[in-house]
Amino acid sequence: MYSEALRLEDIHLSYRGLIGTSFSKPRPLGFFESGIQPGEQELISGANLVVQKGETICIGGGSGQGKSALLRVISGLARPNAGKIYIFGEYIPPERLTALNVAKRQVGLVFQNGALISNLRVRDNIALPLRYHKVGTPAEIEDKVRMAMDLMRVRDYADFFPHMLSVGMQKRVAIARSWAMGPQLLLMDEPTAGLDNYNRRNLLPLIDNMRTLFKTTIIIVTHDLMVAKELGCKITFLANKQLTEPRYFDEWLHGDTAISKELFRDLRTSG
Amino acid sequence: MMGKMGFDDVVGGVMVVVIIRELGPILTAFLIAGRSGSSLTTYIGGMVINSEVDALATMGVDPIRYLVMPGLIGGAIATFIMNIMFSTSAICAGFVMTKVAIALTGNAINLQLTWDYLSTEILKAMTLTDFLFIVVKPLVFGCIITTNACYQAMNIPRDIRQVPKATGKSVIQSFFYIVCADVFLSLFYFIDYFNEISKII
Repeated sequence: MYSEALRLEDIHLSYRGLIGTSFSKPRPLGFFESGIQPGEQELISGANLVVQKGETICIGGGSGQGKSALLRVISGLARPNAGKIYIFGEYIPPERLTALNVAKRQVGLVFQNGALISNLRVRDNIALPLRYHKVGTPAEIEDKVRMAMDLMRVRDYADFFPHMLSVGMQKRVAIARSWAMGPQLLLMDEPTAGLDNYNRRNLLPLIDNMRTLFKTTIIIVTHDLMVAKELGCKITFLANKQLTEPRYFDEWLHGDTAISKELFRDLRTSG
Repeated sequence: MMGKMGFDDVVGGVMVVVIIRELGPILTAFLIAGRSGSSLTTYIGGMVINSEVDALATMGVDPIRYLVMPGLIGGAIATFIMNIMFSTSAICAGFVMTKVAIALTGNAINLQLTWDYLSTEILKAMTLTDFLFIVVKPLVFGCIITTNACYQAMNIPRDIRQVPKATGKSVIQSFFYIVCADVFLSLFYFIDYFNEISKII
């Protein structure tokens, strides 16, 4: 049994890799595409990361550093130019690194904007992947959907369409949808952005419950560093196109590196 | 009039060749490409822009199976039904318009056109291949339209301005592919025509 949930080795990603949807397109043969072309601008060059099973990790960093792009790489939506990705100890070759293949390994992704299917009601949005994969009988699916809606407090809005909901509500529905699938590795893109303080405070215990009850490995991309403090998880920063060593919040706070000086300055002064 | 000119026995043949073989399938395919092909491109293109397609893929729901296949099957069936409706209404409208013309001119050209005569002539002129191609052609065209529309939509980069571009591209390319496919399918008849010609010669 592998204890690692995710291992990234020397990931290189150029801006070219972010274009379009490549959910199921196989990668062109190496003959045609020779990795990095000279002079090409890279978004991420040489990122390494190891996440253990059941661990929660936050990825921080300024905007435009490629945090979300890194999540897209892990979930198979963007294709790295070079590097190796292991999910649950299994090496995924680049030509098979597609979102569908990664999703088969029980990896869930919560998008920054929720990305709900706009012609389905909230209830159907949550039930969609369950029905597609035929997870249990219709009654079981109904139960699971109701439970997910209760957890994220969207039960009153079950018959609403996504455009009738606010951004924060949409995000809660998106989290409920990911939760219902019971993922082993959950990637969250800015889960707390757009949520008010009350819902944010509700969300954090939920994440905490998920990792203790279901042993879910969670990777959170956030600029809200207090999330990491409240969850008590390690933070790694995406700086200079590379990922830093994961450390705990307090270590960063009292650290002496350039990042901790720059990003934790406000937190230090406010105490 | 056609009887006077000696075209008595080709009325049905002309109708079959012009409407049932060529005009019906092609025009319906053009209409469907313009109406449904463009709307399918916009619909899936919008989903791509909102990263809903990505979301589907990350949930393990194959967008090809969930979005494209229903469109493909529905498009093929709809084109088939539309084709039959188009051919029927074209023949009926032609008949009615001729009757109106006769009534307006007081039957100056002394034409005795009956529905019985017209329908028997058309059915007589239709061969087995015609019946086969009534089914095959619309199905092929429907598949071409929907596949092309979905392909164009799925390849939109994350840029809202690309949606109208892709819509235009999808319609125009569908027209082109439909004409190509029609020529290809009509090759079958050409062999028939050449045999007829060589018989006459």
